[in-house]
Amino acid sequence: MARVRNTNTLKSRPIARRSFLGLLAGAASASQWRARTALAAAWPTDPITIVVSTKAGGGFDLMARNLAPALSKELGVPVNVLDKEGGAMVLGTKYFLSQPHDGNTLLVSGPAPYWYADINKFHAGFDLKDFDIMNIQWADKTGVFVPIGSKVKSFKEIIDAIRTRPGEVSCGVVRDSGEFFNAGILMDTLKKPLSTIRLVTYESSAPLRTAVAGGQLDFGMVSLEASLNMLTLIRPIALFNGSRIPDLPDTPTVNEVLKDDGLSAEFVPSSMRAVITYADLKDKHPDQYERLRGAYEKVLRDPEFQEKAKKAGIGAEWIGPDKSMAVIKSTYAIFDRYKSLLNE
Amino acid sequence: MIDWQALVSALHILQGSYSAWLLTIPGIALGMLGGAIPGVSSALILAIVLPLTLWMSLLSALIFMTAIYTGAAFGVAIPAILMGVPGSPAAVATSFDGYPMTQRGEHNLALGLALAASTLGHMGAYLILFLGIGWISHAVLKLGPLEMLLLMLWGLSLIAVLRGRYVSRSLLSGLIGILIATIGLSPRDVIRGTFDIPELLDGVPVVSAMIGLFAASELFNLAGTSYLVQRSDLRKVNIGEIARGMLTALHHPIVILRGLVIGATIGGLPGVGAAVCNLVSYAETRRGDKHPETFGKGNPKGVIAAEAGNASSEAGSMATLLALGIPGGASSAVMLAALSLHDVTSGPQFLDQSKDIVYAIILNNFVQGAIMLVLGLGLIGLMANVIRIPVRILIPVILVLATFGSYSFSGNMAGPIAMVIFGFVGWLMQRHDYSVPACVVGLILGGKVEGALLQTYQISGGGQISYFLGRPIAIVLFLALLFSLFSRPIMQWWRQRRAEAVAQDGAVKSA
Repeated sequence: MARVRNTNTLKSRPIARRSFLGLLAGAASASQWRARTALAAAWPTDPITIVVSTKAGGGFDLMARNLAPALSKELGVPVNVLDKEGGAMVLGTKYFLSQPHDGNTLLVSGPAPYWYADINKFHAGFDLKDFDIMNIQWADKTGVFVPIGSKVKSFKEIIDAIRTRPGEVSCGVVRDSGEFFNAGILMDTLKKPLSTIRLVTYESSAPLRTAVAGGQLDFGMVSLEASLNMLTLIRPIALFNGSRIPDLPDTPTVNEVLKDDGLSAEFVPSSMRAVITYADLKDKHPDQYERLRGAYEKVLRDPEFQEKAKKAGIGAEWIGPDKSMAVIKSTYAIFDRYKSLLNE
Repeated sequence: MIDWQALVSALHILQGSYSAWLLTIPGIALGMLGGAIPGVSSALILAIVLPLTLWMSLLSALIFMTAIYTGAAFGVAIPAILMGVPGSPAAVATSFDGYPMTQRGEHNLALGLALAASTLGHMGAYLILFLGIGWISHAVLKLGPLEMLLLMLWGLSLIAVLRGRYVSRSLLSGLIGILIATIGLSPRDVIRGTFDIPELLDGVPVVSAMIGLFAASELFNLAGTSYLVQRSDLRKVNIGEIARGMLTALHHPIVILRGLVIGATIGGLPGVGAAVCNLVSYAETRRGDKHPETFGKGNPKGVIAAEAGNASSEAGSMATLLALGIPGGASSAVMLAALSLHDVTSGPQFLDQSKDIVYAIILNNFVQGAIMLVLGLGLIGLMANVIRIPVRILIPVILVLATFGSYSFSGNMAGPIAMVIFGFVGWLMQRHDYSVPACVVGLILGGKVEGALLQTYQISGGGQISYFLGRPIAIVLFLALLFSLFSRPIMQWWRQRRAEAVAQDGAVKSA
């Protein structure tokens, strides 16, 4: 993930044309008009819009912009990205719902964990059943980080400190994120009230990582993959995942650490970035639905696209609509058990 | 400290990259022009040019973007001074004294002051960056929520002293501003005061509301008059006067130094940035002055302090961006995107391996300062002509521009709607002597203060004093804040008591 290149290439070489096309969906897709095939003679005939419910530049936006040109090539019409941020993803999601349910609009958003708070706390006026989660393309994991100079060597030390010094260990999380819930689940597993740690909440992950790097917190829990470029400032000591990951072979999972105490817990994913359509699209316009799903799946199964996404540090997994919905429902079931956290 | 080898290599790079130099001038000009339109932020201009930077080398891209940033940091001062309408929160403090100067017919002088202070602040802060980029970036990391809270309270303390005939009404306006800032999702995720309007979940669009408050309160006030400057003999553009303003700025090195140290250190803090720097620099200069009561009525030092503070915040945010990979604000977030489009991850590793590029950017920014001086002189010579435009033409033009600006800021109709509503509120406040600037300071800082307060409460385990006592920087800041707030009244009280005692003594003796 460390993407600092040899400086000589940085100075002289302008960016490659291919990556330009990959990143600028709108501009690139205009030229795809000509690439229309006989298949596309039916639907779609009009440009397709991917609504993103966050600000431009974040992980959600990056994923959509990466997908757009490839999808455009597959469908033979331009695919545009529209960022509609605000209100903890409520505004973009509601905007998407207000569009005609005809397949010409897709949504990239975070059904878990963010929608959970939207639905259960902010009374956003939408529900999971309004959507068809076509695919969770990118699910990040929760990482536990300490400042690079911290004396803490392992997650075990943190757990011991929480037990021996109640009310003194500080932990940073982004509010309503997967990490926020995982902190609650962890404390529950340790059979301690949440107030045993000093839970410090941040509005987004950048200031949280800064606070961990500056040694303001004893530890921070934050999405893992997006933090890998800061490994010279912060150090991962554990991750909330079923298994270790290739990028960090020496970092144990939380359950590995808890095993020594005979404990184990079911944690939630950090942040799910999904491509979403309307629940009623399948019945109302089955051809459109199948065409979209097929094109999208084909893009994600293309090795060239996979390679490009990997290089850009973007998740590009295909698990399909059924499994996606199942994952989200099981995650919501865990959230339901820890619903009281939302009012912490 | 300075890595000489990298410095030599940086000079070689700069010598060889004429395209980077060619981009510097249009970059500054673009930034200045954009910044001069209320509501158009440097982040917006940077986002617009972002796709263009893909065709440039990394160095050219970064230089082009910092040039825009540099130009915009000064551009926002122009409407703040000439019309009392700051183009962004970064120039709020500039309008406090800049606009009264214009009303007195000293617009040339004020613009000259702002240009020189901006240039010196910019270059000085980059000099600090050059000497110790690693040190600055680590100093920023040492500031936790408590320190940020104290810094913002410092800015917030301005509410008590901002112009307005009645202290109580100024305080009330400040409180109203803070209350408005609490609309939407709180840092604790409680929905407040949205009346079920989803657009308000993110709160009132601050920049649009700010433009509305200022534009309406100042411009509607002018509706009955014919020109911005009342006296026709003063209603002209005078390059000599602008130059005199520039020289005057040089007579206040301490004010500039203070501004650039504040800007270079706290400018890089995520979520703080230029919006807070100019207010803190202004507050601190006003406090340290022998005649604080002259501030807000057209004191040149107020303009210098505000401009030195906001211009130097660019260097601060570049320090954290390049050395830590952390964007301090919206503009540096766009630059971070540009870096990633070039497949570069900024941060300590980048600083180590590409120090020559970092030095090249810093060196180029020194030159940018000089270019800005020349371009700025031309631009303000041009822009100052707005004082010759009859007010009946000027007001609609500015309002239309501001409406577009506020739309571009929010990306939906929430911006223009907020602008109109707050325009009416601003007009009412102005009419009844409630300080509009105090309200804006509350509006800008209210939400940030609340976030920092909550985090301080959480991180200190529910407000335990031991946390505070373990943080020397916070203790120093706290004492400085107390001193800044109470030294003058206590001194006055003391002097008064002494005088009374002497008088009594005299009375006793004579009896």
